[in-house]
Amino acid sequence: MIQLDIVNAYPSADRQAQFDVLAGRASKSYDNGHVHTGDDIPCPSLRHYWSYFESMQGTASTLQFSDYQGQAHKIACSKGGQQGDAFETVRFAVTTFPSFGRVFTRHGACTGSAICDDVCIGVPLAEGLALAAELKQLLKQDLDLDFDVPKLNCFFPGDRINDDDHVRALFQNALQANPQLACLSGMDAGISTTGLRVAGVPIDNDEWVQQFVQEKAAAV
Amino acid sequence: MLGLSPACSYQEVAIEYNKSLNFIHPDQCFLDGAAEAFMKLQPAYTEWNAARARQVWIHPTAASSAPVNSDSRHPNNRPSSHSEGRGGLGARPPMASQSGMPGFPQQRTGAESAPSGSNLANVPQNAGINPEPAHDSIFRHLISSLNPDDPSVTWINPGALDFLSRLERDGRLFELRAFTSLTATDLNDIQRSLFKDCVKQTLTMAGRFEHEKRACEALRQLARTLPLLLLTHSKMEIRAACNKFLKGEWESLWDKCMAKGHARQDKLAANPLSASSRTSAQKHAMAQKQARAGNLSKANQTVCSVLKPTFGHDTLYKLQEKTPVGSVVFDKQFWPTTDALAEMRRHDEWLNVQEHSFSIKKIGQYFRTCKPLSAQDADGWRGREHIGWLFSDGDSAFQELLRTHLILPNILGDFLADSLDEIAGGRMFALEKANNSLRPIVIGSLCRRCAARLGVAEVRSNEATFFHVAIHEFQTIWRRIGWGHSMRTSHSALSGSMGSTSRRESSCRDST
Repeated sequence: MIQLDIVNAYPSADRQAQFDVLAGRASKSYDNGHVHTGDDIPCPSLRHYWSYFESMQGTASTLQFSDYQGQAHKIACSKGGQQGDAFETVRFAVTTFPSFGRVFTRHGACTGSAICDDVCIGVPLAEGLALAAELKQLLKQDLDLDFDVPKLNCFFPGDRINDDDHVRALFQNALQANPQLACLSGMDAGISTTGLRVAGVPIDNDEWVQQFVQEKAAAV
Repeated sequence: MLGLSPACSYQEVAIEYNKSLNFIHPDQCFLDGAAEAFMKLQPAYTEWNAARARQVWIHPTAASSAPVNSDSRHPNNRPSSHSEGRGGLGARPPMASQSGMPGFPQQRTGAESAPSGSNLANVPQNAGINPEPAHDSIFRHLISSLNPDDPSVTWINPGALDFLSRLERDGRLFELRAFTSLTATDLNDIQRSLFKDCVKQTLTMAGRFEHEKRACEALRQLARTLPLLLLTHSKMEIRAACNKFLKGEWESLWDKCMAKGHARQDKLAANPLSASSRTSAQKHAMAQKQARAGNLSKANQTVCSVLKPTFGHDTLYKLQEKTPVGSVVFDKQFWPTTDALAEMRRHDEWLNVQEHSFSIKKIGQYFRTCKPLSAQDADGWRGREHIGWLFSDGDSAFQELLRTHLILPNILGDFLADSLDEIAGGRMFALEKANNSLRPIVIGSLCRRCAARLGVAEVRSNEATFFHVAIHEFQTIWRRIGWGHSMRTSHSALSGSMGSTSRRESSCRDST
């Protein structure tokens, strides 16, 4: 299972792409030219709330910040949106969904799930890396989102492979076998043969999960 | 320093500054001299920004640079949001009653001659009308045509509406946001009643300007600002402040809040905050207060969280870095037109949505269940303490006013274009993680969050269906036609099998 991390996801997504998805039509080319200007983009029915999104993100908003000396500063938010507002989650999800959908559809062997910017791919390793590389390129190109490569986490569930070094070697072999995966060359730092957390939930066998919870409880 | 010409716009400077900072940040750039350059650039920008903002406040019409979204400004010389430093960026705006300022013509406030009394009911209603409203007042039609028996006379004679008109014209409606004044959380019954009267009177007045957008929106914004205006005083003063407001002494109230805000700023400048300012005992006391109020989650967070408030000299820079600059000049060729949106809202489907999903009952439920002692928004509102009870006393006429003027505009986008930057903004602060990185937190408008939450509840089932079904659509398309064809081709295939977009959406819903 590969876990992907997007750098500063909410405030970084391209607003034009967001409005294109909400309007259901592409105002520019997407997906390496496979989607043309004027093409339909799948989007859930949010037309009742168009005015909400337009008023919130159609202009640069003012964020008020007071520093440690009480001095007020205004920071212009002109890209993406701010996490916390309930519609922000919806906005981010519908904006990224077409990109995820297109890429995942081209990699039939992979399954994936995403809770906002927390993305997991269940994969055969080589195929998963190819998907991650393609997704990295398209998210940047279409939505101006960057993967945080060193933060990518690769998790091998079960007892089949429980040696981190062994996994790193597998990883390097997969990367070297395909030059198109060079953009992922820094991601072996995140390799783990123990469990992982998805949207805050620990995932692995019962023993690991119990240990995780015990440690948390002790810390609290 | 940045290699720009003196005639460049604020936005150009801001973009170039952010680019340069990213380039020379000591965490990212290991070239010789990078750290020194970083240490020179950041203070220089801060100083330039502050100086520029001061200049703008002294000469509000002399701003030279283009606003971020120049087509959204109305032509009354209002300083723009980020570029003109309205009330922020270290600027000290003039007091409302300050004399001799360009753009702030002197008007007699009449506050000192206002009739005394504890609340509106005590004010003589037949005191007569000031026959000479300011010629450019956005309320002049009302003022000119008012019957002497009209309750609004109270607000006109002391010059309250003229004062509000000046605030609106000079783009100062949001200036109290620049201060981090805390609003009271434990209002007693008298304070609640008076505060409610203030909100009610203001929104009732806003309702009288249904067709005069600027006047209506100015009053709505005044209502949004009331917590900062009335509830940032000591317990004894809140009652007096509400009474002053009801008597129309808005200008002196505003001045008082500004003065208090500046005093607080001066105090902090002399004794800056630090992350270690909260002792363990203070933490525990705070956690106990939160727990007693019923917010166990926040109490737990206060005791256990490793995150701590960030008060570093570089916090501003880090926040700017976490807020990348993008373009707000959009290609709108496929955007729905205003007419199309208006047409959609005339249909039963939307009317039903508005009636059911944004009902008084649901709005009240949202605010009543807000967690106690939650952080206030940029206008000082706290859900449970300031609004929850407004939906508990059975005053349905007032609750409808709240719904109409403070909640629904968020969904309908019913704002003036030139105030959208503030409306869409919020209060920002930062927490420091255990690894020294920074987590920005933005607290948006409470009313906006309420509208968004109810909207999300309304679309939730459709969204879930879409996310389940749409991925199959992708798969169907690509399996059928193979990769390499355009979406246009693929959509034809899709249309052939599933019909139009709306049919496709309805089929998604049906398949649930």
